[in-house]
Amino acid sequence: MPLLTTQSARSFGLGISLLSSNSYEAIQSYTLTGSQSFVEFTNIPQTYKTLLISTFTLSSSFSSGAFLYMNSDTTTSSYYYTSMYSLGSGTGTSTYSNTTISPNFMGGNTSQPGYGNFMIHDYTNTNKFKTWRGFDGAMDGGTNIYSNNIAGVYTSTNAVTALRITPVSNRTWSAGSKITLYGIKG
Amino acid sequence: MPTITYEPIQTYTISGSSTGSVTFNSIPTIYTELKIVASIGAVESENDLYVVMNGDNTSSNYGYGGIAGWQTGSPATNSTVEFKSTSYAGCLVDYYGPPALGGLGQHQVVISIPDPQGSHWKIVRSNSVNYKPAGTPGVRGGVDELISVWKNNAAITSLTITQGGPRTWLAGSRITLFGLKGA
Repeated sequence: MPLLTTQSARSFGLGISLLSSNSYEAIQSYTLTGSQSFVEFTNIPQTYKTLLISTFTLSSSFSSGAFLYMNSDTTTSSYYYTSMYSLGSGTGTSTYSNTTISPNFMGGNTSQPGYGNFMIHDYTNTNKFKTWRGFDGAMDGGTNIYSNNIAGVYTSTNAVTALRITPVSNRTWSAGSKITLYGIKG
Repeated sequence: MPTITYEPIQTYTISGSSTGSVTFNSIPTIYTELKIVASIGAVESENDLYVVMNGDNTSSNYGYGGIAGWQTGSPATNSTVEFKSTSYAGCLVDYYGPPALGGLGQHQVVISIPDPQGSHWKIVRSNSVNYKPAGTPGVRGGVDELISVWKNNAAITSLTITQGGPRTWLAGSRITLFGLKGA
């Protein structure tokens, strides 16, 4: 498995206390060559402490969000999140029970990309629920820039072995979008 | 899965007190993502920190949004501010940037620029923290999470990180550009 160094992990904004040398590994990456409505990571190795999803997304129309499903569980009541966001000239917070990983913004249009990082902590632990957090942003196809800080929980004690991310409202991502799953040891 | 490597491209370590801007020129076009990691102290009071793409100083070509928190007063009280879509002459990467106070303050920022060669507007994510020693009037610490955009489809060939004001940085301030290959 290809490795990144401690130095590189620092530059991802991770606390150095979390990391040891060669502890940051890319598990799988999708670079889209055409329109696609979701990406899925399966058979996720259970050898890491934390998972990180990095998203760079293009879309033919502004997406009002994206969903994250763990272990193919689409039950809305299994998920909760809280977010704090800016919407161009406005701001807000939201708390919901559903699978949204990005409540308002993930995409833009074919010339205005969206970008995000989402971390899922202690995903192999079978004694507690799974928590995650993230930050993402995008333009809305016009002049507004959106940003989003979000944290959530998947109310299952099952180890996470699969992840699926899909835009809301039957949107699709365009060619050039890139979504990568990393594993963090330590 | 392609092989992933993560390489330092260039590092500036500030040796004097007259520098408040550095430029990374002739950036190799082989990377799928660029990152700048900066640890900076400032000589004068703090001001905004931003990244200029390809020497483009036209403020209308940039925009940003984000969320920040900081402390004010003594004893400190918590405040937050949510940013608006206001134009700077570069991608804003820190609001009220590096602290002054003779190097006793600390400021760190991590800047990520995915797909720097792509034919689309360039998006920049930054997170930053700064701190001033206790007893200092005004802002004592802060944290920012920002998204900035350069409204241009051109490939990135140069990056200038600079501070508004203008302000200058303390000796020992360090700014490194990294390149990510692969996924």
